[in-house]
Amino acid sequence: MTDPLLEFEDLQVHFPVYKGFVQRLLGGGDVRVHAVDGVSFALQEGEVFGLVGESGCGKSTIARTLVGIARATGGHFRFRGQDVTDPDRKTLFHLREQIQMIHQDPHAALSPAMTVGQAISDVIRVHGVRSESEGAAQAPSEEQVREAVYRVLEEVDLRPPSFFYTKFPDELSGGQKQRVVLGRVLALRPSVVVADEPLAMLDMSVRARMLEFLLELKARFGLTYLFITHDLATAKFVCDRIAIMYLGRIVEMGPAKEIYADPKHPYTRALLAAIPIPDPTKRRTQELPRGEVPDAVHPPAGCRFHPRCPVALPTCGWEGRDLLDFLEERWLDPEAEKREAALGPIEAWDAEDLEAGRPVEGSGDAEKRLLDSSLASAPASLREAIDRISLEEGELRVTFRAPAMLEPKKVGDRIVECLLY
Amino acid sequence: MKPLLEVEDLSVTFETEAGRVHAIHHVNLELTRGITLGLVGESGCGKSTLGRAILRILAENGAVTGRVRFDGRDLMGLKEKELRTIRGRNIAMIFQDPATRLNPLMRIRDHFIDTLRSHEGEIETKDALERARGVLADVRVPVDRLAMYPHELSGGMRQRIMIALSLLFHPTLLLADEPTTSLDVIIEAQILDLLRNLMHSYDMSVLLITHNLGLVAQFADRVAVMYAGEIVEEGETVSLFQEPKHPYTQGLLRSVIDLETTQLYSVPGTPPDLLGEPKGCPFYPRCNQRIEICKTVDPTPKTVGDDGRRVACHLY
Repeated sequence: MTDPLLEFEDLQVHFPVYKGFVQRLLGGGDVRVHAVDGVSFALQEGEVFGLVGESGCGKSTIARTLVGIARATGGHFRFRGQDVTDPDRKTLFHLREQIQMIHQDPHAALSPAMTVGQAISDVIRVHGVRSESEGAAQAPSEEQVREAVYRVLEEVDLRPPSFFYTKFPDELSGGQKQRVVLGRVLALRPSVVVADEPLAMLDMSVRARMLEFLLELKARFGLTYLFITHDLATAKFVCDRIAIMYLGRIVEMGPAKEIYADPKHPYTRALLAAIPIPDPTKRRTQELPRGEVPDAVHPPAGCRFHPRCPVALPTCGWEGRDLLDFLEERWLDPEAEKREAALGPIEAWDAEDLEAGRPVEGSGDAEKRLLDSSLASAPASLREAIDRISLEEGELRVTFRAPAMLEPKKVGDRIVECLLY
Repeated sequence: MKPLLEVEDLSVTFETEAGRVHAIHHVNLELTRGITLGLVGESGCGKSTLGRAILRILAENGAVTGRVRFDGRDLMGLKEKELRTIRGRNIAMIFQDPATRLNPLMRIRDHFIDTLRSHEGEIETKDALERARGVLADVRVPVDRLAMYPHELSGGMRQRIMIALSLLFHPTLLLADEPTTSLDVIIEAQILDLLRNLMHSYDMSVLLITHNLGLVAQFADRVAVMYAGEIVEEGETVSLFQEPKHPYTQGLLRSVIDLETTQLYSVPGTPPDLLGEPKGCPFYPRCNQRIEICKTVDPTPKTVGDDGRRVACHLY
């Protein structure tokens, strides 16, 4: 294999959470959003690489890191072999000519006060006129700029260019706006295009046309795409390889065809099963994962998917707060809540790392028996992960076993981060 | 049995600076008790406006003609005060973005108390909270969320709260306008499962307004397809998906990108703008099967086949 065009190694992007003045005085530790937490992948020249996942998984943060809007807090980012993790202004300026981004919302990406001509010529004035063969010409004349804008408009099928040149964004349809955005991107002759949900704002009947157009441009200009989407169906159609992300980690990565034919990670399977298939004879029958994506400030221990995973093992990372979540869920049933009132309410419990506990009065034997009986309906893996339930110093305490070491593993020609493999 | 909801010859126009917009044009629609009717179409087709016209919550520049009968009562003849008791009580509505429907300055509990008081007058806080707990259990939300503010909850949680609020008065009809569009696929599927269970336990019918054909296929018993302010086709879900009759429905279904897509397709052209008096079939400029008459005469819906399909197209 040739050297990758672009490479991330153990990329980490954490964002500080700004606290109020009083909170800062009181401390409370280091609060950060773990948006991207140790992600490695590489883009080969000419491929379409898909980053797929639900909101908050970190896929857009990676895109923003690529174009220099967000900065890596750890790891490395290499472009054509050069380390550009922390670029200076000049490097960033040239990097942006090479790596361009299409945003989700074409209405927001274009200034309502600038005509199409102004929007594209701005970019050309800053970065110079580009042609296929040579680099940028310095200080282009107004005539050269207009010529270049016309050429770009023709490239994105906005014909005749003189007609579109003077249009304001609100005079255009969603698809046409997206083409203007594409034109502005192509004006710089980039080698990598980061497309962040480029179809999400378009109607179904015109989505296919935009997708075809993106693929046509890729062939014509030899582009490499980083395609970011939550839509597994579109990703399947356009991507050569995909990475499935969950809470800042890649859980599965490999050739798109194989992942769809035989998803390995339980999260990938859940995502695929949840897609509403437009065929009423194929209604979903599979169980859905419990709950919602947890908070990225305190991601779960071990495998981040373990609290929702239908096939979790006792070693997947069970910890104190999982017990609290289980009890809270259980007490949604008013009868169970009444029966186990001596264990509640949930606010009486606290959890830290591998432990969860609550104060008890008297011997606590009754509470312990109640807990034992309610745990009988907990997921087997959670139950088996409990090391001991103890009663001491007026506290009922549950301690979990430490999770097994989890790292990305090679399974065939893909990478899976799951203890099942 | 009489349908729960009957919409007859409903038209909605909006007066704008640019002229009169014909947002909905002579629409007829029926919703049988106990089923989910999917109202599907692309942005600007009038599907949300139709939902709002039924509840008469249109913007001020909107004018409605036609009839809407709910449970045998003509909603168009009702005074605003009478309508208000039907809205929220008998017909509830949930929307796309629950974040904008909840007051950011109010705790969740106060939303419940306010809603109950606005319909039932003075109610003890204790009783109001007791009823809130009841519906929260039905949507599987822990009661401690009552003390929180909307921003402390996830999108899925907020939508569950909206659903719980709509359940307070045991509505017989739920209008769900893109209820899962801002949610991720797994949460979306969870919410749909929840709605399906609630339909049974509350004996409720649902009008699901959406652009997502997958949702309709998974969830609806019948489907109505809207285009440019008209219902172009309506029928039983399985039969309509298997054998779409209107050229627009055919094009729309072909353009869906799903896991089995190997060939991309899109409907040529763009939807018409709805300014001015409509003439001919609204789909005429984009239709691949058009004939001469389509240009001048707007087809009226007729029953096609023997499974109750209605199609507005000159080909049939």
